[in-house]
Amino acid sequence: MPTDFALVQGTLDALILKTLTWGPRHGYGIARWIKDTSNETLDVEDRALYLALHRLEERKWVEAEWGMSENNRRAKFYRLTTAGRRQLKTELDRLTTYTDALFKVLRSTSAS
Amino acid sequence: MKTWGQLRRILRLSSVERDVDDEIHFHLESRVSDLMKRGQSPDDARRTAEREFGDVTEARAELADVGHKVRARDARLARWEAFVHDVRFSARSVLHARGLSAMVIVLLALGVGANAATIAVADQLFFRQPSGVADAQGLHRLYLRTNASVGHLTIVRPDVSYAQYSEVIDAVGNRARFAAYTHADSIDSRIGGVRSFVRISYATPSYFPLVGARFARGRAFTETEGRMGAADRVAVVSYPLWQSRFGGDAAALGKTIEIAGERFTVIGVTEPDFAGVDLDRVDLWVPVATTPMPMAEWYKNWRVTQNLRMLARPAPGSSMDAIAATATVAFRRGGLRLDACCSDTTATMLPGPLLEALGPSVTQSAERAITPRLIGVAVIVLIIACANVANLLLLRGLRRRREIAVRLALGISKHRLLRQVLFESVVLALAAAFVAVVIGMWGAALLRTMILPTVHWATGAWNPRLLLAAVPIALVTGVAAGIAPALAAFDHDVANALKSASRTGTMPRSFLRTGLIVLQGALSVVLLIGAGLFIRSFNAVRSIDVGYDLDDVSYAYVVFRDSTSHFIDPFSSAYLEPLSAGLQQAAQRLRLSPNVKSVALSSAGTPMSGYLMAPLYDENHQAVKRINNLDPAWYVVAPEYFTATGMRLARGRFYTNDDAGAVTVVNETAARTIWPGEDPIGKCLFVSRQAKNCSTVVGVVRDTHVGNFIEPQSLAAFSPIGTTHPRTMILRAQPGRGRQAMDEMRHEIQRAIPNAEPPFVQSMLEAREPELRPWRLGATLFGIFGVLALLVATIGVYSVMAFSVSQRTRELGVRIALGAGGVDIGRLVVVQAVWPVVVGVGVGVVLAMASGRLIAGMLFGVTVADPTVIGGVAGLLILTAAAGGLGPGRRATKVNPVEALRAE
Repeated sequence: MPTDFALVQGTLDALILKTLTWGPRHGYGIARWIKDTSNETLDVEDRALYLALHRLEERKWVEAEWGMSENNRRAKFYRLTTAGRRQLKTELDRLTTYTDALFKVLRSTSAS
Repeated sequence: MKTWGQLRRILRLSSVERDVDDEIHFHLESRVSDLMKRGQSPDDARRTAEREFGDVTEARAELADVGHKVRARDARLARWEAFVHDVRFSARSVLHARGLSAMVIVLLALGVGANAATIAVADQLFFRQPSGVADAQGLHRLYLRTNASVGHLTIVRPDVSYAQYSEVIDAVGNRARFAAYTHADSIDSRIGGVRSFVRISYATPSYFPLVGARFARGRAFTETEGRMGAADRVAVVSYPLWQSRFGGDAAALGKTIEIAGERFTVIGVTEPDFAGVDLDRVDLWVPVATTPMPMAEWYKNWRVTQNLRMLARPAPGSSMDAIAATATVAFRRGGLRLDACCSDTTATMLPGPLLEALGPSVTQSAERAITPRLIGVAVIVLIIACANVANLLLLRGLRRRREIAVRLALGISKHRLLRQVLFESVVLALAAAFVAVVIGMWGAALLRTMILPTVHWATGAWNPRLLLAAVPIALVTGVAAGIAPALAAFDHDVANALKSASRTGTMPRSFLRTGLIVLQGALSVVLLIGAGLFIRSFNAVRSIDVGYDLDDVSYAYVVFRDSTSHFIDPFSSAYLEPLSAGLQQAAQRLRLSPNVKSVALSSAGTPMSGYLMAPLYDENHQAVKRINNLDPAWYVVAPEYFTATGMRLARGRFYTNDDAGAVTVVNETAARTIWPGEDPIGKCLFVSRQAKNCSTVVGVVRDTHVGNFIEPQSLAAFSPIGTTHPRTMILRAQPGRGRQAMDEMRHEIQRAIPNAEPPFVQSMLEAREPELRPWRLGATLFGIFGVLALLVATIGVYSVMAFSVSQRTRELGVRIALGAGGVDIGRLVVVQAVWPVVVGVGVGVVLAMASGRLIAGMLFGVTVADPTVIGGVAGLLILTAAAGGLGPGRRATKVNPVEALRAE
């Protein structure tokens, strides 16, 4: 399936962090949730998602721990850190400002 | 081993990769199984999953890359957290054992502070080039080595005469640039109407350019101003003098100042950093041409007054050795023009660095000689302090054996444990270094004023080098003293320690601990014996019979000037006649005073200070040979001089006012040298070259010490003052009335000669003070360090015993329960405190004997094996150790057996 949208810089990070606000998840769980929630519209390569995930771990926005999955397999679980929660809020504010500005231009009705 | 290391590395690396593989694998599996649940075939499901994932190989590499970074970060973090934990743990345990920590800090700080203080002084002496000098490395001194004709005494000193300096620079030519200056001397000066002593150096015009001194105001001397007999008298003042005496006023240039009665015009001010090239500070420079010698022309050719220090800066390509060789040839050739008496064909010029302390001079002052020894002494104090600290930490280690065992049993690594001990030592050492800097600052200031009072100090007492000295010494000693006990603690078997440690009543005997007490006892003995020897030397020098009385004797001389306050030639009758009349008049009045016993007038100072140098000729007009390389001394004094000074008669009689014809009195050395084995009374002696008549010897006086008390004797002759003008008054007070008599003398002279400066009045005891200074210095400094060592050793014995008693509570409780009395218990503790010290005293005495030659040269009238000193020190140390054990001993007797046993 071709990528429908090229994601804006930092958006994938925000999506992952948002996903983890509901609790720890493994990588596959995060990927599924993003795709299911966006009805497959936001389709990124899983590889890109994992890379982003690991980078978030490097920056201490998420913590990882090995555990058992629902079907009793060894899986790496990710959890949001306090710093990650703070980062999500910053990222959301930034995206909101960005999209607001974007839509204000795109939806303008007069060229006053 | 190598393969094992590689394998381990591979395994470790692969664990990151394995995690990545596992994660990707899990993802793909999950996706495949989800897709299959939705009805896809296994093959389709796998293809879909892989397509969705993207390039697995590349992903694996990317993820592993990030994974390694994460892992490295986590490892760093863990190390940091362990470090912080250990530091906090160390600080806590240092704070917990407050008494012990304080003791360790005080001991280390005393030892380190003493070293920092001496190093700060030694730094100035041996390592720091004079400030404000351009390219100090390229500036050299020329020293003169001469051999005395009698006694084959070799003397090396930095001084030559002006004539010799001129000959040397002529001979060397353009191979080097030269300058010469006199060592700064305190000279009576008047600046802006205020009279005071100022440190003045006479320098050649080449001096300032050669050393590269910079000027804050004005300029240096010109060649014309520096020429012998120059009419213009000019002066350059130092920055501090300009600030203090002229208020830093630019108008100081052109102002007149008076030096020894002569007027000089200020032409320049040096930069603040420059105070001459010697250790001693210079306040003011004037051209050497204005030397206060009676006549410049005479000084120019005079070879006997050697007071100029030579500086040389070799031209590129010229070596100092070659220049010195040329200088030697010039010096010897110049010497040949003199009488055979004064030329020295073996004299040699030696090159040396600018830093005097590193030069070839063998006639070192006591101050400079004492400093290296002080460092040795300070190091000994430090070793004593370290031995103490190590002992305390060993005891502490014993108490913590159980704690350490528990932690080892819980799996802490020895490495980690050792690190904590190290941190503890570092915390203690840094705290000690902080206290040591304070002690060192105070000590350095004290040492400076004591050892080198006239030195120009480039820095204040606060010297950053003090920190540089204190921190490493404290760290090295603190850590060394801390680690050894920690290593000892590991030797114990964990299980055994868990069972027994800190519960056992008895302290394990330790060879190491006893050895440390023996060591500090021994070293304290060495220092105290040194101090004792110096004190005995000082007393020996003080009680030297100088051949005349010091008590109740004082003297006065007058600086005379006319009403216009111009300096008068001190050889002119305009000077001498009023002075002479005034002194006679004052003497008459003083003889009537109830405070005064006798008054004498002398044309040549006091027995201690000045005398005229005059060759003596026997009845055959043969010059009497000089002895000990000293010219014969000639005293022209009134008959009362002998009784006023209290000189002792050996044979014959003193001359009186009734003696008709020329008479003389000689000293024992002269009698023995001129008429060996004969009766000198009635012999004939020509005193001075000009004497027409021979003087009859009527008496022989005992030798007197002149100047430096331990210098060899010279020949001496005394002649009646007759019509010679007196310059000095010598007064003997009634016993115990010295002060009042001195005040009267000052008052009467001022009354008799109202237009002269107030007279200079000093007691003979005061006059002796500078001569005693080296001995007093040795006694004081070694005394201070000896007391310091004793203090440190006492603190050590006390704290070790106190600790030991607190550890032995159970044992002592058992003993008391079994019926031991208070005296028995006290004795037990005191004896334990004393016996290692007794052994230490024995070792120390042997050590002191062995190292005695290091200070033997600085002692006087006492040998290293002085029984009084050794006995006194041994007694003092053993008593101190007993006193140190007494407090803990008393506490031991108060142990409550019931509580001591129940506590377990």
